[in-house]
Amino acid sequence: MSAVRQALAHAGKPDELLVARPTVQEAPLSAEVGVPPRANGRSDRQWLDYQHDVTLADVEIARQEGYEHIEHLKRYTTCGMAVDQGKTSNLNALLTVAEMSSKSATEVGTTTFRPPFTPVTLGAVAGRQTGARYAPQRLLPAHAEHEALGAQWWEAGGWMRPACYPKKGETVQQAAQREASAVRSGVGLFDASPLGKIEVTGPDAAKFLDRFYVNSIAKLEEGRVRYGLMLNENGVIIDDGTVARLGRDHFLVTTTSGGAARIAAWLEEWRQCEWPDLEVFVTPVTTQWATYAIAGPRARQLLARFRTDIAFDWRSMPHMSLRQGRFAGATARLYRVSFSGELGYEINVPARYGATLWTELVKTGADFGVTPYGLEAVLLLRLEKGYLHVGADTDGTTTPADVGWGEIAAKKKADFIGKRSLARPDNQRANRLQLVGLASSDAHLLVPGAHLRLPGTAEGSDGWVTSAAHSPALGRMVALAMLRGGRERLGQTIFAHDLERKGEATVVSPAFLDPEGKRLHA
Amino acid sequence: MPEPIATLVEKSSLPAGGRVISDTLRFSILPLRTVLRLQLGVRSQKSVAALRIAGRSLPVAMNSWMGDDPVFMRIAPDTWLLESALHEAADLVQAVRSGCGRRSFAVTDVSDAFVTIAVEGALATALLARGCGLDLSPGAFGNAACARTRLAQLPVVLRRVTSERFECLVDRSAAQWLYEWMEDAAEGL
Repeated sequence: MSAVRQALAHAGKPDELLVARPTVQEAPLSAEVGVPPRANGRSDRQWLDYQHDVTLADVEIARQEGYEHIEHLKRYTTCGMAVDQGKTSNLNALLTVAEMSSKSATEVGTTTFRPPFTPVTLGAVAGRQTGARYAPQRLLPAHAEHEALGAQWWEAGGWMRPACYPKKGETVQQAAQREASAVRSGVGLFDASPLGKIEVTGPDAAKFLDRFYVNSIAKLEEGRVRYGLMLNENGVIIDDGTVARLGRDHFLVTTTSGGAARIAAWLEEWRQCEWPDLEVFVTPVTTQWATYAIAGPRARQLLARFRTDIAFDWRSMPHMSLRQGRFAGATARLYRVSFSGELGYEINVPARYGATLWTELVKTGADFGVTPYGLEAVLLLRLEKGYLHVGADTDGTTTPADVGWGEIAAKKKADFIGKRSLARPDNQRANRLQLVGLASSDAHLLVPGAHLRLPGTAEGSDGWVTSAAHSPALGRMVALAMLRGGRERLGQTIFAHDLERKGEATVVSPAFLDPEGKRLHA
Repeated sequence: MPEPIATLVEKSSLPAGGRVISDTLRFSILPLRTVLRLQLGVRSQKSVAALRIAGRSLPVAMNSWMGDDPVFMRIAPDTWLLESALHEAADLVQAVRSGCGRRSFAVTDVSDAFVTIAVEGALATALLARGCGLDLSPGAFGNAACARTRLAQLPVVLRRVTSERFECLVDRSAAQWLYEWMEDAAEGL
């Protein structure tokens, strides 16, 4: 629980706090309210407003320049405009003005009081946003089913999501290792329902989307899927995901789960404000569909246990494709994509069927060891493949070239958001931070956040580890890092520092497992 | 080899039957309804008064609704929601396509993305006011009013059905949380 949450939890119910709210005497101002503060003879050392650093000298200057009315004086000096809204200074100022102008305090009057001049309790500010109602919680269509399987929950982007499904006595790490291994050797099930989904339709849909992605979308064939990077105007990566073409003028965009609302708003902003001439429509449909990833060498065997009119054999449905049809009686969209590096499908059905589809997948695959896996295993599997995790491996400065997409971005002839910025000299520096893999014999050295130094560097940082974990498939630690001029340093030895630990690591390719992609094309 | 799984059944873990707080306040999660999102291109918006879908007119005024079933709500300059307890989504989509003809439009089935929560009673407005910034007094938000707004931090579409009944369309994933918020907010009313 965060400090803020704890504070609010202790604050109790707002209604209780209202009872205890302090009352403030609002007696009419009288001429006998006091005398202006005078600590010593120097007006530039006599503070009237301790928060905004306003002195008696400031008031004198204001009056000399004609700001005599108390409201004018307030704005000129900013006396009373700090966070306490004059609670500790207004009286000082008005008594000073009264003295200077030989008026009574009543004649000088007061400025308009704004909150929080009158005390406001934290409980009143929080309202009903306390405890369980601090922030909305989003539940998966199969929330109860995950609970029944013993899911350990993670709150991610407002969603309650299974981190893993620990067996008795297992730690989170042990469960994640077991689940990831099961995906590599058999078949795993992952609830990917929060994955952002946005339908883009209209005669200009292809042209519209082409302006967002670093790679070409307009030429995408119907039924095919393409992975792409999205940039902001500065050429910085803001999201990644896939685009599927459902029809000539119909696309389905997927975004990161955390980016679903943000990217929908981003598309909508450009559509409405920059390109109103384009005939295109943007519709977020994230929660319309329950989405389950079925990954592993036995993924097809599991799908075959369901009645469907979708041909999903390797010839009919290659890697990076999408088919629509019926699946166990429900309307379905079946992707063949992979975030694990294994043969992978993602089945989408209307959310009302999400709970029963999950249950059936678990039950039906039980005889060949289908294994539900959570976010921990997902992140481990993608790390073994060197797949990018936007927001973890990237930050607010990372460009496509930094993650190995420089040639793709340079090759695309059509314009896209951020393209111009990629030509800036700083974005073309050879010694920018670049994504690399790291290997080390020290199992405890490579942890996310550990800083890196090149040989001969005595101070400062030449990069840092962005993701790291023990790979069950390789039996050793694997890590991704952003390293200064990293791609030119493959094979070199560098130094990693984590708190008091220091050791050597070797710069390697980020694709630790199956770099040829044989497993996902199986 | 077992028989393939042929049919999935609909399942919701949301509270059914609703909650009666008092004679003056009750709320309930309604059975899943058909909800379509209709968007019209700029030129099509101008001729919306002439548009008929299933023989019915669409509301022209922003943040207003009309119809009994389907209900048409204009929630943005280019966006209408169609809500129905009687029509299948496929039938309604077909009706939209027929009605829109050659106009520039998009229609999307979002039935599974929304849950409708009805709030009824003399204290319905007071309950909603605890989490919604809109002025819900009858003069400002009358019986023909609807709006995309925020309730308890969540984006919702709120519709005033009668003086003492509101229907709130909320994202399916957050419906349970909103329902529990309402239970909490009803305390002390």
